[in-house]
Amino acid sequence: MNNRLKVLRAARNWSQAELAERLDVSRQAVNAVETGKHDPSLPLAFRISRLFQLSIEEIFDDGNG
Amino acid sequence: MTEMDETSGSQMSPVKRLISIAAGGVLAIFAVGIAFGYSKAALAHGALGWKGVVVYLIAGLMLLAGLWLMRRALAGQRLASSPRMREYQIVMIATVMFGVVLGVLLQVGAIGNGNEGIGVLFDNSPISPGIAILFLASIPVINWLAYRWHQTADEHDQAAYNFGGMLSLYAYFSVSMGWWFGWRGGLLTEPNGVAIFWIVMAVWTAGWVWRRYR
Repeated sequence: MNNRLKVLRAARNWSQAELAERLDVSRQAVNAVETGKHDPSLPLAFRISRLFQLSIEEIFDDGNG
Repeated sequence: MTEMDETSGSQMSPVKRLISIAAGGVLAIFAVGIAFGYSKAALAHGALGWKGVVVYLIAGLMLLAGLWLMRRALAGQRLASSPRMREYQIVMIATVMFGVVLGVLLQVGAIGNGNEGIGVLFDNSPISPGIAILFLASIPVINWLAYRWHQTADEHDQAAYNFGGMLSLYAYFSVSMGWWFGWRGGLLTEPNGVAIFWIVMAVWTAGWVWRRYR
């Protein structure tokens, strides 16, 4: 699944570790989501959505939209 | 290729850090085993001699090298500020420390019983009731640490752990059945449950670490 997490994070000048702290996950989890190696669960997707104040669809794209 | 943690003081990759901590722990356990093993032999045969000084020197250097490896791997690391990740890290540190202490106690106890070396964890040789009780008593502690780990690990880590678990199940099936049939056909020695256990654990760990840090 494609996502804009890295771009959104970079726009706020956050490191992966800083974003991980805000989402209460490990830095490896942030890296795995950013690189598409791990699709986040719905609860994590909602946390990401609230943190960036964007809808889930504005952050994640399953290629069928 | 994972992005390096910009906020970390250490430039070591997570996999190298894990390997360093594990190698340091094993080195420290071996060093203690060598020192106690030689002490027992020296007590049985009398004099310590200059060889003893050399053995203790080597054991001391190994212990220092082990501690240095672990210290270097943890340099610049800090606990996470989010409560869940902080507890996760504390559980991981407690698990490693408990493992090292248990490994040292088991080895020292085994040497005292005449079963020398790290073999106490890798073979079927008899052990004293004291060591057996020590290990049995540690099982609830290990399970409690595992329970806390599952409560605090994030979903990515849990998925990596489950992936390693799935691989280890197939490893168990393949190795145990293959070895059993090979033995019955006269091709292999009798299956060794302890060897199969460690193979399964190694596959689980490898799958978990690979999936988490790839």
